[in-house]
Amino acid sequence: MPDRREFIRNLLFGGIGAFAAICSNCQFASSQIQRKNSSTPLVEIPQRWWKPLPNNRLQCFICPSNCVLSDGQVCGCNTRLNVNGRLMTMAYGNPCIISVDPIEKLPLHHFLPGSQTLSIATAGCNLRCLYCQNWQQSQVRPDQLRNYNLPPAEAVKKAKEHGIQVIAYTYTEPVVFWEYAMDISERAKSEGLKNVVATALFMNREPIREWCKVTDAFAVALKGFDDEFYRKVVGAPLKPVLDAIVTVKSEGVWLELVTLIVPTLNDNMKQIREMCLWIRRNLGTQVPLHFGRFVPEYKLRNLPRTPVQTLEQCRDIALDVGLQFVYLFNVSPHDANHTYCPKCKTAVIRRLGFKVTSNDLQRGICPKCKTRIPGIWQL
Amino acid sequence: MRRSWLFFSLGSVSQVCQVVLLRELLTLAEGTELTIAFVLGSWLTFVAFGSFAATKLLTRKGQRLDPALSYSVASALLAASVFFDLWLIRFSRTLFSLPPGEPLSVAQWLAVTIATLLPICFIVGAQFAFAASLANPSGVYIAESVGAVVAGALLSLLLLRWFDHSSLSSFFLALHLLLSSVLLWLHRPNARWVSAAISAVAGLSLVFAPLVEQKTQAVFWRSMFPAAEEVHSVASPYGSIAAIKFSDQLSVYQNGHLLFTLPDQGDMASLAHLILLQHPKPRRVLLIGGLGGWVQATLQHPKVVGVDWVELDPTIPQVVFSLLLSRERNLLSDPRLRRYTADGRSFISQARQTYDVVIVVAPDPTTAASNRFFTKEFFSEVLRVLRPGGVFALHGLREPPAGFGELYFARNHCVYATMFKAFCEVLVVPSSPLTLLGQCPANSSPPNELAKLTLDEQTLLQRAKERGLEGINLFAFTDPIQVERVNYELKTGLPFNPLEREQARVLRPKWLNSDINPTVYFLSSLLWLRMGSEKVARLLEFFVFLPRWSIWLLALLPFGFWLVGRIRSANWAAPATTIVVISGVGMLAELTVLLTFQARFGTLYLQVGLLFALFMLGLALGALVAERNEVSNSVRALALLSIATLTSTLVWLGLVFCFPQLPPAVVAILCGCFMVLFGCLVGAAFPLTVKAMRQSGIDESKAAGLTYAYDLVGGALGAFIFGAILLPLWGIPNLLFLCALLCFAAATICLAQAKLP
Ligand code: SF4
Ligand code: SF4
Repeated sequence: MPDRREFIRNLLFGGIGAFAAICSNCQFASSQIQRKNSSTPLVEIPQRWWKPLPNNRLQCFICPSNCVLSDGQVCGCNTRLNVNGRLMTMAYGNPCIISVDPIEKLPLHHFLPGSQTLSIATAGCNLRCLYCQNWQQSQVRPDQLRNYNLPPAEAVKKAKEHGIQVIAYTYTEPVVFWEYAMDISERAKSEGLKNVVATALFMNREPIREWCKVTDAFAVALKGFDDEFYRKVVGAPLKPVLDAIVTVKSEGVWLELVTLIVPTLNDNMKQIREMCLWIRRNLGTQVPLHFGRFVPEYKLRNLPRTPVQTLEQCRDIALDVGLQFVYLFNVSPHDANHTYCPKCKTAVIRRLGFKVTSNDLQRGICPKCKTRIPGIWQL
Repeated sequence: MRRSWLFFSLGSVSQVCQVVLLRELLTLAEGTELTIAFVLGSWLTFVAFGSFAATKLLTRKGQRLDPALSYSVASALLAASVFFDLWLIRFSRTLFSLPPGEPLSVAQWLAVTIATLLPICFIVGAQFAFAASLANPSGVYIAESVGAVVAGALLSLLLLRWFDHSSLSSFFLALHLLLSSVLLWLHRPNARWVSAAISAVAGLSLVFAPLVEQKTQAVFWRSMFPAAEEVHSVASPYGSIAAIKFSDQLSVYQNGHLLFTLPDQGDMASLAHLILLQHPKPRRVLLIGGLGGWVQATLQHPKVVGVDWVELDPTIPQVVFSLLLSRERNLLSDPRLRRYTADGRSFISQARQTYDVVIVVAPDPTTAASNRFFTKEFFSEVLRVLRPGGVFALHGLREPPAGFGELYFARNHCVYATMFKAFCEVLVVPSSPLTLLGQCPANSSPPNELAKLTLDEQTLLQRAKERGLEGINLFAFTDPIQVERVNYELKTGLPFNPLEREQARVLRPKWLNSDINPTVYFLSSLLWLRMGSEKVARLLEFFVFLPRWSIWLLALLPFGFWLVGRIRSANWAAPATTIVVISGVGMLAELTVLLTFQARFGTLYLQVGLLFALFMLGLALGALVAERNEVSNSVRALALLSIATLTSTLVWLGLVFCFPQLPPAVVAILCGCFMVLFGCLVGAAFPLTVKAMRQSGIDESKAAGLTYAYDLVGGALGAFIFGAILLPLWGIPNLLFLCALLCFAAATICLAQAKLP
C-alpha cells in the first residue's frame, strides 16, 4: 500500500522532471530574449592595473577594493573577471545605455551650460548604493542585459554625426568600464570633443591620474560624510573617495560635487557642515556643490523623498561655510537651480530643471559686476 | 456528526490566520498576485504536510497518539505560533538589520514567509487529521468549511474595518482554544487540568492582544522610518493605513508601502492643468484616484462646475485631510467637489452622468486589479461617459528602464494599441509615470481643430492665460524631444534611440489587452520578476515562447499521474487523481469568477470576501450532500462528478463571453451562483474520494488524511501554475477549456478504473 513517503517521492520525481523540462527549454527562451549574451566580448585589461598571483589568481588595482580573483571568478563590480589568470572586462564596447542628455543632468552647471552630451553607460558598479536610481543596470553584469555593440571609434562617430560636442560617462559607474571610457575619451579628445564623467570615484589614485589626462570635467558624487553611512548604505569606506576627489582637484580638472540627501540616513546637519568645511579646506570655495533630492528608488523605495526644507537647510549651511556655488538638484522650479554671481548676486544663468532658460554670462564674466565665474564656458 | 461542529472553530481560525498573515507578509513585499499566489500555495502545501504527518502518527502501529489531547495541545501551540509570527514579521526588518525604508530581499521574504507559515499550517493540517479521527471526517470537513465561511464573511464585512490584526487573531484563537478544551473535557474527563490551562491561554491571548499590537507596530515603524515625527495609523478594509509627518511633508503608507508624499511640489498639479487645457471648455470632470495636486488643480479651472472625485479607500483621504493644513482641508468644502467612495471602474460602468474630462490615476498594471484600467472593455466604458469632444487621461504607465527594453516596449505598446483601437486619437505625455490622452471614439474625429489634443507648450500656455491661470510650468511634459520619443516608442513598440532600434528585437504581443486576456498584466509580472530575480523571470519567460497548442498537452497530466499510481499498484490512484483535478479546476474556476467579477465591479474586498464565503458555503453544501447519500460505487460517482464539473466549466465559459452584454445585477448574481456551484463540486469530491479510498481497503483516518492532502495539492497546483502563470498568459477562455479537458480526463480514468478488476 503506498504511503506518505511514496507520495512525496512521486511528487519529487514529477517536480524534478518538470523542472528539467523547463530548464532545457528555458535556454531556448533566454537565447531569444538576450541575443547578445552568448557573445559578450571579453577584452584583456593591461597588466599595469593588475598583478598575477600563484595558482592562476590575480589582484586588481583599479579601485580600493583591490580584489583578489581566482580563476573564473567575476569581481564584485560585475564587469571584470579572471580568465586563465588574466584580467578581462565584459564591459568593453558593450554599453547598455546610450542616450542624449542635457549636461545639467550630470550635474555639471559650470561646464558648457546648455550643451548636450552623448551619455554612455555599461552594466555594473563597484558600489551598492541602496537608493541607486539606475540599479537595474548598475547591479547586474553586462551579460545579464541587452547591450549595444559600440566600439570606441563608433561612439565618437555617432556623437559627431549628431552634432554632439561632449561625451559623458554616466548613469552607472564609469569606474567599472574605465578601460572602455578611456579609449573613447582618447579618440574623442583627438577629434576635438570633450569628455565628462559622473562618478562616485571609488578608485585608486594611479588610474585616476591617467583618467584626468583625457577628461575635461568630473561630477563626483560625495554621498555623505560619515564612514558608517558609506559602509552601510553605499557599500564602501569614505576615506578613499575623499582622497580620490583631492587627486582630481590636484590634477586641475574641472570638478563639481553632488550630494544626494537621503532622509534619516545622511541628513544630519552637523555632518553636512563638516563636509562643507572639508570641501572649503581641501578644494576651495569655488567648487560647485549640488544637494540632490532623494526620490524613493531601489531598496529605499519606502522612504519618503527629501523635504525641500531639508535641502534648503543644507544649502544655507554650505553658503554659510563660504562655498560660493551651491545648487539644489531634482527640485524644480527653485531659485537654487540658477547660477549667481558671488559678488553682486545677480542670477547669471537661469535654469528650469535641466533646461537653461537664459545665460547672461559673457565669456564666463558677470555682465553686471564683471566678476569671473569659475568654470569652462566655451569649447 | 453532532460533535463535528466543535471543529467549526478550526475553519474560522485558519481563515483568520490566513487573511491576517497574508496582509502582514504583504507589508514586507510587493503585493502582486504572484506573491499572494505564493503565500496561498505555500499555505495549502504546508497544511497538506501537517495532515500527512498527523495521519501517519495516528495510524502507526504501537504507540498511537491520543487525538483529543493532541488536538487541544495543538490549539495552544497554534495560539503561541500566531503571536510569535506577528512579532517575527514586524521584527524581521530589525532582524535583518535593514536600513530605514529598505524592504526585505526576495530570499529574506521567502525565509520569513516559510518560517511564519510552516508552523501554523502544519498545526492546522495536523488538527484536521486529529479531528477526523475523533468524529466523522466528512462532518469535520463540513464544519471546518462553515467555520471558514462565517469567519471570512465577518472579516470582510465588519471586523477588518475596526480591529487590528492582533485583536482579530486573539478573538478567534480564544474561541478555538475554548472549544478545544470542551472537546478534551468530553473525551478525556481525567485531563481537566489541561482543559483549564488551555482555557487560561485563551483568556491571556485576549488580554494581551492590544499590548502585542501596540508594541510590535512600534517596532516596525521604528525600523522603517525612525525620524518620523508623528505616526498616525488606522485600520482599513484594504490594509492598515499610516500617515507619517516628517518636516513639511506628509507621507501615506498602505500596508507598510509608501503610497505618496504631500505636498507634491506641483508636478501632478501641472499635469492636471495640462490635461484640462486639452479641452476648450471643461465643465464636468471625473477624477478617479489622485490625491495630491490633482483636485486643487482641477478646481482652479474657472469653467469647471462639477468635479466627481472617486476614491476606493475612504480612509486615505480622511487621514490625509485630518493631518493637512487648513488651506488644503478647505478643499473639501468647495461646493463643486463631490466625493464618492467606490471602485473607479465600477463607478464609470454604472455612471449616468457624462463628463468633458475623465482622469484616471491608476497604479502601473503589475497586478490583475490594476490591469483592469488598461483593457479594451474599460476604454469602451469610458467612451460611454465621455461627452462629444471629451478628453480621457490615463496616468500610471511606467517607462522602461534601459536594458529591460523588449518586454517593457511590448507591454507599453500593447496598452497603446488597445487604447488606439478605442479612441480616434491617442497622445502620450512624457510624465513619470506616463500619461495617455485619448479623445473621441475610433472612426470619428474631434468636433473642431481647437478641440484636438496637443502638447505644444505655447498653445497650452496661451489657453492657461485665457483661463486666468498663471505660473504653470508645463515644460517637463511638453519638451518636444521627449514628446516625440514617448509617442514613437508606444506607437511602434520600438526604442526611439536609433542605435538601440538597430539592434532591437521586436516582441509584439498578438492580442490587445482585455479583461479575459490580460496580456499587459502578464508582461508586467515578468518585468517585475525580472527586476527582482532574473532567474525566476527567465523560467517564466519560457511560457511566453511555448507554442499555443502545448497548453492542450497539459490535459494528459491526469493520465500520467494515474499511470504512476497504477504502476505502483495503488488501487486508489483514480480517486486521488480525480480529487487533484477537481480541486485544481475548482481553484482555477474560482479565480476566473473572481477576476470576472473584479473586472466588472472592482477590487471591493468586501464583495470579493463574500464571493470567497459563497465558495466555502458551496464546499460545505457539496460535502454534506455527498456525505449523506450512500453510493454503491464511489469511483463511478467521482466520474459523474467530473462530468458535472466539465459541464459547469463549459457553461461558465459561455457566460464569460456574454457578460459584457448582461446588466450588472445579472452578472453579480451569476458570479455568486457559480461560486456556490464550483464550491459544491469541490466539496462533494472530498467525501466521495474518502469513500472510494476506503472501498479500496484503506482505513478511515488514513483515507481522510490522504484525501485532504491530495485536495490541497490540487488546490496549490491550481493557484500556482494555473492561477499565477498560465491564466494571465493564456487568458480565461483557453484555461477554462483546458479545465474541461482535465475533467474529461479524470472522468475517463474513473470509468476505466471502475471497469478494472
Ligand atoms: S575594479 Fe572591480 S575587480 Fe578591480 S578592484 Fe575594483 S571591484 Fe575589484
Ligand atoms: S555608485 Fe552610482 S551607479 Fe553605483 S550603486 Fe551608487 S548610485 Fe548606483
